[in-house]
Amino acid sequence: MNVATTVARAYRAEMIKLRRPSTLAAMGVIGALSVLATVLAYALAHATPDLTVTARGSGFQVTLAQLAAPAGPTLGFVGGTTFIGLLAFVVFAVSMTNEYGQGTLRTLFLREPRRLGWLGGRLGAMFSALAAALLVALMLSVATALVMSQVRGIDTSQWWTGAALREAADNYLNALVGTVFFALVGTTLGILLRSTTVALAIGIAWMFPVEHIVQNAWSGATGVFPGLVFDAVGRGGVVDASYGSALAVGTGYALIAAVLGAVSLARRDVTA
Amino acid sequence: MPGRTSVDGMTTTLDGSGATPGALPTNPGISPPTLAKPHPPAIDVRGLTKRFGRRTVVDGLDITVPTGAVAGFVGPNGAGKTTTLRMLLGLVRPTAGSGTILGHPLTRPADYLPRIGALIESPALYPALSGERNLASLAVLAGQDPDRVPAVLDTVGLAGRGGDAFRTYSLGMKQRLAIAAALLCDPELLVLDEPTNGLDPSGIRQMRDLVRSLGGDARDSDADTPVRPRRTVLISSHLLAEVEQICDWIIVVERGRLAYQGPTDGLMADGSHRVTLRPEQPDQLGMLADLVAGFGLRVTRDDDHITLHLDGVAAGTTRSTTRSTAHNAAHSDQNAATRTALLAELNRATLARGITLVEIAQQRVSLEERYQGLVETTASSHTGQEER
Repeated sequence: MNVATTVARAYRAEMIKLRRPSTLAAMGVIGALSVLATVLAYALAHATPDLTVTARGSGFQVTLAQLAAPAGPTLGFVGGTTFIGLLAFVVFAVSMTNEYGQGTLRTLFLREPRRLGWLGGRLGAMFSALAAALLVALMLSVATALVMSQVRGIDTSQWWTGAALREAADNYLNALVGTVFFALVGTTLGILLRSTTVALAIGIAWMFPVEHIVQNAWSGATGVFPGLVFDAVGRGGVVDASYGSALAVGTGYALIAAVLGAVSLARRDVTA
Repeated sequence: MPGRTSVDGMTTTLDGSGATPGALPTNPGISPPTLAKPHPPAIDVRGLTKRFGRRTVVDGLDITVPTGAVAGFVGPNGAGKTTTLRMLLGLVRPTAGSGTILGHPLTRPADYLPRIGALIESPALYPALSGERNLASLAVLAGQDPDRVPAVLDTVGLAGRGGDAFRTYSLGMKQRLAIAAALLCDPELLVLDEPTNGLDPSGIRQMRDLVRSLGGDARDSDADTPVRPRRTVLISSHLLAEVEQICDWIIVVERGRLAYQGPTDGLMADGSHRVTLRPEQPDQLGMLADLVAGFGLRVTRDDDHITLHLDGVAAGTTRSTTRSTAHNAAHSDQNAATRTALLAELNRATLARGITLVEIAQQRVSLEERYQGLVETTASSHTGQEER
């Protein structure tokens, strides 16, 4: 039996598991975060750029003119990708550590000993759910933007053009790639550490407070540290890290994470 | 010879006639099928070793489980039972050792796991999913037909609760659902690790009955005749009374090493035996004791009878750290014959001395006593080796 068969079976098996309320709840949280980010973007938008705020690249300054542009309806969605990335990191890390903690991993490997095939199918299913959740979040964000544009009196004539559609597609793909990067690192930490507490403590502490503290002192951190790089990818590039370089560095981190996770899963004993 | 096969050099009847030297006992209440050709052992591993750092958990274990046997795997806590089972099932990588499971190399679990059902330690399924969804997910993962789920739920007595979330199940129900998961593939080999752990007496009884029933014939679903040998069951347990009732083959480990393996009857018949001799005249007790002592046997004297300890008669024949399964089985029968001959000789000698015996009673030791003796002997042997 080839690896593709294993991956396909694992994908279908994972899909059966994903059809449950907690999956809908996680998707709902992603949608809610996106809506919240959209509301904040529109509510806090200035008529002109606020020059008192130092542009660090990670800030989220929006002007009413930007909101009226073709990218306007999805700017709120882009602003929420940082939170969505964090959520994806947590969900993927916890789902993996739970497999160890609950002992379900041994049950799975007794039925399918081709571990890497299982991992591939599992991640494929979870990424599919993530992609669906982001699509729903994007649509909710656009709907919210329509409502908020009426509140702020924003001209939406440029929103219904081909350029706006391309912007929306680009923003969606960027958000998906950035979130997948976060999810991969979460999965790998879960496999390596096998403990929810330790994986979350290390992952969240490093990728959020620590990286941002360093970033405040050194702007180059934006293009180097994984959490900041993934965030830059999700937002389509930022001032201190262009999209191209962020995507290259982020892909490197994701590949390293994938190799580490795969080797660990394949070689280490399942003792839980 | 039709109906006979050789397992690790041991001649084994598979026609149910039983009592030939080294015979493989049958499952209680189940008639074994007639087989056209012999089958290799379901499990046959040599030198299985696992070290975690400097700690050796399993130490050169040789295990043979004949096809069709219901085998008990017993040993104290920390003896290495679960680690051994995990190595057999591909969850833990052996440090050393080789062998075959269902005819496939131990190093290729993907080749044999589809034909094995297993429950290792506690039942581990997704708490939020229903029993049916848990099983359906596992069936799809293994490439099996999810339509089998209702049937296996029925087999373990959970047909009415399949739609409930796993977390709402009692421990006994969780154990049964995990066994249902193991049965999804209609396994040729069923491996159960402490399936009665944490169960109340009623649950233990249900589990025992279930395991007994699972050790039956494996049949083609579309035919009445067996198309392969009986399902082999390997069950680890602390409950020796359960093992004694369920298992026809037993493997005893202590500190990661083999203390015994062979037919359960062989273990019981072997080794430490006591025989009570009661003379008609109590004043002949001293003469009787002297006579028996003359045979080189250890004797204890009570008010109206003496007790012979036949440990020495079978000395060195029960522990199999270096001997094969076949060797053990053969010795077991030899020992029984030796004891019978000895008792006959004693009877003749007492009559010749004018002592009339009104009672010659063999006291069969329990599996628990035999097990304890084996474990203590093996432990002291290991301690001696470590000290040297």
